[in-house]
Amino acid sequence: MSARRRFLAAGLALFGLGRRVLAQMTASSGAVMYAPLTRVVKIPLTAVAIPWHPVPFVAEANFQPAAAGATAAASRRVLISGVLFRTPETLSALCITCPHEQCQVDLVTDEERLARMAEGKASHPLFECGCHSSVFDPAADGARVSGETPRGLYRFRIAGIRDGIVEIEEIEKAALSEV
Amino acid sequence: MKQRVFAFAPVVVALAAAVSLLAQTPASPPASSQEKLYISLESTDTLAVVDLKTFKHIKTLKVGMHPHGQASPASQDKLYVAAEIGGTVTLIDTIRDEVIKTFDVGFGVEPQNGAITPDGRFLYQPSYAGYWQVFDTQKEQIVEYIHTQGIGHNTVMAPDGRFVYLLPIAGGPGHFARESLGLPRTQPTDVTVVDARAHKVVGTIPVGTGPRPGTISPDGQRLYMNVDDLLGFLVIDTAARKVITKATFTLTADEQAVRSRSHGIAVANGGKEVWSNDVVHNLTFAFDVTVTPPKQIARFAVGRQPYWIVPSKDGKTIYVNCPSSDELIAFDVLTKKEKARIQFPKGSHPTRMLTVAAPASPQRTAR
Repeated sequence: MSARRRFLAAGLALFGLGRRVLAQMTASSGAVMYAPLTRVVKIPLTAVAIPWHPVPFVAEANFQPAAAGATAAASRRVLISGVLFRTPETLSALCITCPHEQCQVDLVTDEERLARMAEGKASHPLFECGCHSSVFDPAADGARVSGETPRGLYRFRIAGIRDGIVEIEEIEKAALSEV
Repeated sequence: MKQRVFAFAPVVVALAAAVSLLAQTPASPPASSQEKLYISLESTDTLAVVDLKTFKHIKTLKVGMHPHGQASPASQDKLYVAAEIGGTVTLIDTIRDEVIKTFDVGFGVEPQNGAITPDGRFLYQPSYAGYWQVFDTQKEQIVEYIHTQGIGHNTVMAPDGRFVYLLPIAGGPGHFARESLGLPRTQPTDVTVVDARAHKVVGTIPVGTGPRPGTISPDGQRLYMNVDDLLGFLVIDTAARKVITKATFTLTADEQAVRSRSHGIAVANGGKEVWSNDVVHNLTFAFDVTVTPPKQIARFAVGRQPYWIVPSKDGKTIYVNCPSSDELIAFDVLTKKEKARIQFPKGSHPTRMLTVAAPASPQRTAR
């Protein structure tokens, strides 16, 4: 298969994910704005071949405060910790900074802990914040399940897969002022 | 016979007076004691007991759901542990490390980190609902409510028990969704100063933003406090009730590109040093506070998301816990070296903690 075909195939596969993300965005918080990363994050597709094995990465962006009179010089460099992972259905990239108070969340796969976190209702791994125990659903684009957090995890946008490399180009804009 | 009885009367009166005095005088720290650390393991609804001589986890006590702050009077024979979920406070016997009882007296939404008067009589217990409750430990009832800005969270008792400092945190959409007393919810910019005996507000200390954890110098003259949007801490003159300077963590360019917060602060080395955590960068800092502004003298890589920090009773050891990596770390203050580390079971989430010098045997105290 040519690189172009592989990219198209991956793009089609991600189309489904995109529709689901879009549906969630519309249902929960209206239009979600994305901001470009300073550099594209590139992760080999083979690194996320197994479901629920997240690959950590650090992305970089610039935060431009919206305050009146703010200049380009006032922009702030922001480093954002994220993970790329595969669920049985799709690929997902999420920021692992808890929107509550900036602690990092972990993907919990241990069944005993999952049972405690979700009162026995978890059918797959969940993200949990170590500081205040907020829980997020990785199979629903990091949506809030429980805890102090006011919202779900911030989302990265996967642009596509080129030559077996997953390319992540954007981050939810709201994350830039919060992480 | 009658004359003999009268001959003993002065002795009996003196003994009775001595016993009465013992019963009324606030207990001082016990001469013979076992120093222990009590740590809330939030996700398992338990309290871990660590013996600080051996640095071993010696016991686990079941307490209320999501245990949070702890408070112990000067006698150190009791410990009050607030449970965020369920709104109860559990009383622990620190000599036997047993639960004595659980108070379910309407502590309101999510009781947080309280403080107790040195004589053990009044527990100032904050609630997320935006107020502090004064719990009379003798009558076992709430005798006063003190409303503040923001959300009731951290509490600092002056060493002499004269004043108690209420440190409410700022609230977001999640916080303010909780029920309140119907009073307005405003973001905090002040510390509220309360006369701990009269339970009345006697002043405020403007800090400009949401207060975070605080601690006080052994002489009660300086309040050190983390606040929102400062990676460091404020230094407050308690007599003047004003901020006099601040300390700022030194960070690399990459660290500055990642938003973080200060959480957890402790006084060490006889009041000469203040140690504090940088949560997201996984760092703990030590400052010399004998100079103005305080001077950074050490920086330590710790576990993931250091959250709380307390000194040993002699101020020569500092304990830092890290809920995301389930660790407790001990540092030697003099050498600035790590001494030991305890790994709790994965997912325990050790959060708040307190050192207690538990008496070797029960003391005669007022309560």
